[in-house]
Amino acid sequence: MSFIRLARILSFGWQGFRRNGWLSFIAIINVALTLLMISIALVTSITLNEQRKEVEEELDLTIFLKESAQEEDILATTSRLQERGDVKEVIYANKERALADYKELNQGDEELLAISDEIGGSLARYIRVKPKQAGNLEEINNFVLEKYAPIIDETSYSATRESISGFINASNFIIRVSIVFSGVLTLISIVVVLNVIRLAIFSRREEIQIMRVVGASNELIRLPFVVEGLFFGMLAALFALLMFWLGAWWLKSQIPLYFPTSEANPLMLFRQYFSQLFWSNILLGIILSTFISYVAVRRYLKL
Amino acid sequence: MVEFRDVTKGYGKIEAVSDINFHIPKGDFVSLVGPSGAGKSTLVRLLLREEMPTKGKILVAGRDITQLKNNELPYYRRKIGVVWQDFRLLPNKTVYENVAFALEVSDATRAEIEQKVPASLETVGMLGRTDNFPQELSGGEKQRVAIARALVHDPKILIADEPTGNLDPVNTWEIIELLFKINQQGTMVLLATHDKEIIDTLKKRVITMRAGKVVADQKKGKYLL
Repeated sequence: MSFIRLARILSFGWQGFRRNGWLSFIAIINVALTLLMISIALVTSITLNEQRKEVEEELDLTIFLKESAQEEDILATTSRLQERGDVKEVIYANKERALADYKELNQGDEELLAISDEIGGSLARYIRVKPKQAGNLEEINNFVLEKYAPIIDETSYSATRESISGFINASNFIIRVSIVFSGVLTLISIVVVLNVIRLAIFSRREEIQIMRVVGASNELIRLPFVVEGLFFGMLAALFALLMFWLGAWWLKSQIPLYFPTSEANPLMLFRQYFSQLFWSNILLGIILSTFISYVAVRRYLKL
Repeated sequence: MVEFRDVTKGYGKIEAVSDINFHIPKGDFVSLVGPSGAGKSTLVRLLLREEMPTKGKILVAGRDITQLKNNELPYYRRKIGVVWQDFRLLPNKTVYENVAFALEVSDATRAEIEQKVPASLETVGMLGRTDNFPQELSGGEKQRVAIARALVHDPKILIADEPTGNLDPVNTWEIIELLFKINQQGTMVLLATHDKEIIDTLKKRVITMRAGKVVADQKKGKYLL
C-alpha cells in the first residue's frame, strides 16, 4: 500500500470518527461497557485465585510422632516426604523446636506460657508438611499413614478433613460460577457491541454505496471504518478504566459502612492490577472494534 | 463509445429491461426518456455495473463491462462521471472534500487535487462554498457540486440520472446548460429524464423507453409519450 493511500485511509477514518460524533459516542459507550465487564471478570477471578492461594498457603499436614519413634526413622521419613513432587516444604520439630513453637504460638498469653516449662517435656514431636496444592493433602496423608504407621501417633488431617475439602469445593465452585457468569455477561455485551457497530455502519450504507460508484476500491472504503473502530477501541478502553476507577473509589467508601471489619480495598486492587487492566483493555478494545467494523462493512461491499 | 447488445435484466420473473440495443458514439448527447418504471434507472445501474444483466453485452470503449472482475470495477467507475436525482453527496464531507474524494480514490497527488478541484468547482459556480457541508446547500447547489465531482477526473462519459428531478425550473435549466457545456467540451452525456420540456428544447438524440423496452430512437427527437 502506498504512503499516500495509507495517509488517506487514516485521514478518512479520523474524519468519519470526528464527524459522526453521536454514533461514535454510542459505540464507545458500548465497547467501554463490554471492556468493563471483562475487567471486572478478570479482576474477580484473579482476586479469588489469589485469596484461595493465600488460604492454601496456610493449610498443612501435621504428623504427630510417637514417643517411641527413633530419630533416624523420623529423618528418613522427612527426606522421603521432601522427595515427593506434590510437597512444597517439610519441617521436622523435635522436642525443643516443639516447645519453641508452642511459646511463639502462645505469646502474650501469660497463663499458657507459665505452664510451658511443665508441659515442655510432654509435647509431641511432629513433622509439618506443606503441600504444593491443598488438594494433595489427602494423598500425602494416606501415603504417610500407609508407609510410616509405626512411628505415627496421629495426623491433623482427620480433624480438619471436612473443613479443608469444604474450602476446596467452595472455592472451586465460586471460581467456576464467576467464570461462567462473567463469560455469559461478556458474551452478551460482545453481541450488543456487534449490533451497535453494525447499526452505525448500516446507517452509513448509502455513504458506502456512493463511495463505490465514485470508484473507491473496497480497501479504501473498508479500512477507514476499521480506523474508526481503532479510535472506538482506544477511547472505550480509557473510558472503561475510568469507570472501573470510579466504581472502585465508590465501593471503597461504601464497604466500611456495611462491613466495618472488612479490610477489602477495591481502589488498591485497581492500582495493583492497573498495568494488566490497561493493556488488556486497550488490546481487547482495539481487536473487538476493528474486527467487528471490518466484518460489518463487508456485506455492503459485495456486488 | 457505449453499446448495449441484446441486454435483458430480470429480477426473478419480472424483466426490468429486455432486448435493449443501441449505440452511442463518442461525444454524443443522448436523452433516455420514459415514464417512471420504464427501465431508465436500470440501464444507468447496468452501465455503472451496479447490476449485472441477465443476458446480453454492454460495451464501453470496446470492452464488455459485464466481464469485468470485481477488483477492476473501481478503475472502470473512475472513468465515468455520474449525477443522480438525489445528488448522493457524502454527508460528512465538505463541498471541497466531496469533489476531492473522486480524485483521492484514484491516488491523485495533493498538487493535482489542489489544481483540479477548484477548477471543477469554478466551472459549476461553487468555488465560494468550498467549506460548506451538503446539508447547508440548496438542491441546485448540491447538484452543481455533484456535477463538479463527476467532472473532476475528466471522464469521457457523463451519466445524469434524472438530475433535475428535485430542482425548481431556474435551477433545472442551469443544470441542463451545464450538461450541454460539458458535452461541447467533448464528453459523452447520457441524460435519463422524464421532463418533456427539457427534451423538446434540447433537440438532441432521444431514446424512448416504455415497459422495459426501447420504443423509439430519434436523431433530433421529441418527447413522444
